[in-house]
Amino acid sequence: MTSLKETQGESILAGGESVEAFVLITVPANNSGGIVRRLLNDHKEFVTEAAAVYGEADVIARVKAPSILALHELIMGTIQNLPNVLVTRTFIIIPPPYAEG
Amino acid sequence: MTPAEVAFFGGILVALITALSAFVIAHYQRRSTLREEHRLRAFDRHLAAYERIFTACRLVQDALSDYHVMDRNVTDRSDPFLGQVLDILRACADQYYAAVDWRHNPGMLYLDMELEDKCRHLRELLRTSLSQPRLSHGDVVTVRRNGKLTGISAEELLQLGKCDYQELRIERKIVVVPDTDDEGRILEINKATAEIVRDLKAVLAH
Repeated sequence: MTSLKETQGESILAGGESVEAFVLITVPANNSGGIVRRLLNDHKEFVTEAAAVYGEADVIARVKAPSILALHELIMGTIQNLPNVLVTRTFIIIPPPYAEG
Repeated sequence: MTPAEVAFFGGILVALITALSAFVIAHYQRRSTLREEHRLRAFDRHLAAYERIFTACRLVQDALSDYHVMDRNVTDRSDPFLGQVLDILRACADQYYAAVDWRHNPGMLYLDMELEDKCRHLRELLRTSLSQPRLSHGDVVTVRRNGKLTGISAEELLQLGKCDYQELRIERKIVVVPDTDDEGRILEINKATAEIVRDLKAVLAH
């Protein structure tokens, strides 16, 4: 059991290659709308899209961070600490152009 | 004074004493009847309050039993079911606290003092037991690499690069922390609830 609260702060603005990811968020019933609103209103510098969905996760957000470190801090320090967030699953987006295969 | 006068006044005195005695007896009988009627009316009016305490006490007893069984047998203390059972116990205890409120419940005048004390004692036991901090929050971090989930620390997470995992999973865990005094307290609460249920049953049967 760990907490990353203390790692939040200036380091989130650290430089590096920007990275995007989809974050699947699980919340208790009837809390999806509130999380979507908070992500889009309070964290619009990182969250480019967010929507409540049916299925395995309750909310899917697309986030952009200036570096992988900043992304991890954003997930652990900010999104995971939002009220009612139980689980986050992060999938990093492979930047185009995609290799042919 | 002539014997006739003595007899006359004696008769009046006897009549007065008889009348006074009859009046006193009638008065006390009337007061006794009124008191009994008032007691019965009050008992009827407050029966619902007795039933509420009885029901709350039974709920506490059942919830405590469920929590005790779960608490002893659970292997993962972050099991959400354990937390739910604890929540149920807290809700039942709240119901009991609200039911055992003597200041706003004149019906309790008709319970005997010993029973009132037992109810209050149980309330204190529940408060003492449930006021202990029992929930601890924390995040568990796992990553999926080659289809396999591996637990890592938050510090390790910060060292990871872009291609070091397929999925990053962070789960908030709520752990129900056991208290060292739980075993004794639970036994004591169990004993107290059993006694109150038994005594209240007798009151309700009356």
